[in-house]
Amino acid sequence: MTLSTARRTGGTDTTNAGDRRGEVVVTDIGLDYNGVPALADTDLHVHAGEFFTLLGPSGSGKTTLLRIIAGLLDPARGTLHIDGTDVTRTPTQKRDIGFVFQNYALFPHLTVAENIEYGLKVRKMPGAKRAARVKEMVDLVALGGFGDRYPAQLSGGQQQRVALGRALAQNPRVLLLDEPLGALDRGLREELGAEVRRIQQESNTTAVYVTHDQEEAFILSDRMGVMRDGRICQLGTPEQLYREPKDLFVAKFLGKTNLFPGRITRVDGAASHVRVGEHDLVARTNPAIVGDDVVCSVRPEQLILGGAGAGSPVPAGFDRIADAIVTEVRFLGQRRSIHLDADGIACSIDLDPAAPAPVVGEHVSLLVRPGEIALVVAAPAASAEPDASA
Amino acid sequence: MTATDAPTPTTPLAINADPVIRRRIGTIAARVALLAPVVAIYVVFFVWPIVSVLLRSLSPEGKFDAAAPVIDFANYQQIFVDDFLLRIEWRTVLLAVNSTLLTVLLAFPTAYFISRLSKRTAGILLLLILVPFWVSIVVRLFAVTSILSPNGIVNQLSLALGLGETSLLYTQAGTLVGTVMYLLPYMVLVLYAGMTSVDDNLVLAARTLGASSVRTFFTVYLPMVRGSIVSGALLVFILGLSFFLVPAILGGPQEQTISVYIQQQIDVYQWGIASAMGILLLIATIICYIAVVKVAGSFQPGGVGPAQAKGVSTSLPFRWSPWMAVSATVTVITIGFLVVPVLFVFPLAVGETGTVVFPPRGFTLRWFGEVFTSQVWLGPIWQSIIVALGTAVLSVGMALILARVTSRMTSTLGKAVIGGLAFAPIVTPAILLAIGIFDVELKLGLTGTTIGLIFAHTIIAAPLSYALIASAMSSADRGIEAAAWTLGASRARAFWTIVVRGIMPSVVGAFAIAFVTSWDEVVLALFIQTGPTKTLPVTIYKYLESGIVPTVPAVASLLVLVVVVIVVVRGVTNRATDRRGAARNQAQPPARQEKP
Repeated sequence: MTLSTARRTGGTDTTNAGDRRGEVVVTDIGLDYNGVPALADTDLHVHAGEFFTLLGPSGSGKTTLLRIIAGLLDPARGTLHIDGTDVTRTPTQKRDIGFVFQNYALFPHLTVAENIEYGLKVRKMPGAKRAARVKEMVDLVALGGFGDRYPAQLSGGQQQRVALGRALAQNPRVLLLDEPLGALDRGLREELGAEVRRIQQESNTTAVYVTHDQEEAFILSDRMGVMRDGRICQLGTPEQLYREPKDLFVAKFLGKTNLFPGRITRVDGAASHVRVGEHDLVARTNPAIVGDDVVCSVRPEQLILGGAGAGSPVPAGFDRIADAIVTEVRFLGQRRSIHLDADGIACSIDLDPAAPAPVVGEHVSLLVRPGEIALVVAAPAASAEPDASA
Repeated sequence: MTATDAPTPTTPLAINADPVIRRRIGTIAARVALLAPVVAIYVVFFVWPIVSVLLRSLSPEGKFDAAAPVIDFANYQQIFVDDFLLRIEWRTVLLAVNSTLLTVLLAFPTAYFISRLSKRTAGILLLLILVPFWVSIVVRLFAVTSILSPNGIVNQLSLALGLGETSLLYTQAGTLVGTVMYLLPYMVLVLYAGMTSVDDNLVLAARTLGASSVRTFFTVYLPMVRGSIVSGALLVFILGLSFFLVPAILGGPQEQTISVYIQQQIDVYQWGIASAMGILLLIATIICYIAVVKVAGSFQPGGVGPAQAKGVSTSLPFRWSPWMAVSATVTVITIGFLVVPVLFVFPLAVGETGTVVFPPRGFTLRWFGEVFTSQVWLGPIWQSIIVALGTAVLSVGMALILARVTSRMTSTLGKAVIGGLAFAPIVTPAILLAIGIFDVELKLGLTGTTIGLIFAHTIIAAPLSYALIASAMSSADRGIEAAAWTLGASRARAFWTIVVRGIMPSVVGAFAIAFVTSWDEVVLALFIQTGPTKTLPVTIYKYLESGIVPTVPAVASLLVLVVVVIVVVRGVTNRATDRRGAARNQAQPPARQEKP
């Protein structure tokens, strides 16, 4: 199955990961809502101690998968193992997980300390030990002095910390987070995102994190999976997904990109020769591609400008991919964004703001390093994921 | 999904069944087990009584024989032919129509005036309407009887002014006065809710378009509140149509209405005509309620939402005008009409004479002492407390189960059906419910028992508890229960420690409203209590029928005092919680609902 992530297993051996726990293995899990599959039969292997993110637009099935792992939804098919034990039919209560809800779901009638204490009380932890653990958690989530407040007396960011502390208090094997930062404003989101990551590392748990915000995913994840229409399109490290998108959807969903239709002329091992317009280029081979029609995905920061016309010089190490006319120049602080029209294809590139800026109407050519072009299938075909029928 | 190796399964279907489906069946079974007692109580003490009366109404002798069932519409025919019965029906309809008209005429200016006042003043005036509303109708009836009686204040005033004898007791006018007094608070509260929800900007917009105040009132304001007027009037009409207490006490023997006639017939075990009339009342009520739903779009139990002073907005400030002056005058009349009878019980209670007279002669607190020392009153007080507590516990239990099941339901139709069925008992005319439950409890040997009365009161109290708890549960965050599960709490533990504790104010409110409903209930208690010890309101009612003793005003004043104390305490605690900020979500004050 091409979805499984054999690529990254080189670094750590996951089978005997010491005191790390919380390995989640999802096998052929599927669920239908009124006959429509909300989750196609999905496989996923989250390693112990890993911070794994499920990224996708709303309705892509990422929350469904998370809730199935939590036991809040029953899958129609498939099995789920946590640390090697089959928990497919185990009720939520017995799965030893922590769940952070999108709206936090704090108990409004209990104080911060009582919220955090709840799971410990359920587990009948003795009073003194319980109090110590609550204090420890309150400190961990940086809420010292707020223990006696009610949730309604806290700000959104503080509520989020309580939710995190409550989920972690009983030291769960797996921490499941359902868009926990979605309701916060931008600055707070970044700050708390880093904190979620720190707390996860310190508490030594596996985290499965659901979000539609790619920046969050990039900041937090060891690995991530992009979901769409109830299936996982691609798995990998954030960098892998950004640099080597497997299909058009992943390429467009993660960051901005410029898409140039082309045609494969020759495949030469890891290098594919592509013809884009009248230019011949070399790109990395994408094994998922079956036909000849492809799209070249080039990120705005990977392009530079060169002189117009076939005769103008091309810097060493660059290839010309298209000719274009500058339509808009914007100064954006850290970068200068240039919008261009490349024979009907709208493109944008990011330049160093210190570099000389082109003027609107100028004829230029777009240059790219050969290795940075990612090839994806022309149409966002559903056949991007070959079925594991063997 | 391995499709290649799929030989036909040889295992039996049951073992092979999808575990998910098996678990679904499990939850359905648990749901049924929870619901069974609720459904049983509902069927035995609501469905069976109605069906029983219906069957009796179809037999000429008023006796249904399961061995030889007959369907005969003779009783119904009689209702529409017999002169005597027609006169009773005409009188009933006339009373309902007149009291509705009078109520609307008084309530509209009152509600309008209050809706134009600042929040603080409006709150005080609403309180003056709510306190009488919360005082038991029997207590208020007692006061009205004293006021209207030949040696009462009205007649004395009329004699002193040289207007001759004015005795309203046992006349149509007296009945009308009593009925309007009962219906007024409902109408004012419905109208006030409707008026405060009108967007002031609409009125301002009409003015900017050049419309005069009068034109604005008729073309913009009135259409906006027409829904509240119509649904409030229909509601009041329904209550007036099957009203029993006021006609029974103030109407006297010549002024029977349908309800009073039914009661008299059942007293002598003549079921045929009485049953048919009860069913007729039910049909009329259902028609009116359908009209209410059509007009208002939805049905609120009792038609009275939480009465909270809103206060007029600064964009449309209060301004005196001739219309406003008229409204203010009507408001004074309305409030005086409601408050005076309630206050009137106090002077009556302190007179030294052995007969109750106004103004009181001398001053003594002896009668209060007597209330707390004689078994005549301690028995009923104790009985009332036990029945009310039992009713409250049972109602809250049923409401929790029902609310829990409906909050988990996904089908809107299912929710609507359960909601409709749950509210059916409080829509049913009290007199019909009373004779039906009486009939059934006679067969079960429950009449005269405390538990029999608790079941009967639960039937009318549980819907109100359910309304409070269901709305709190549906507005509470559903996620918190799942959150408790993920923390390891069992389903039962999560339900009690999170769901129920989280809506505790509403649960307490549901308990209180069930308690009060039972505490004040007269009609069901009148029929079902065949034993010597009756509940407090029924005891007072019996004295109203037979003649007042001096301890009655003392008891009445104590009951008024209890209401005043509760209202004051509520006001203080509410203000305290307001000051503490909206840190904890607080329950709305429960609407008062009474079944006379």
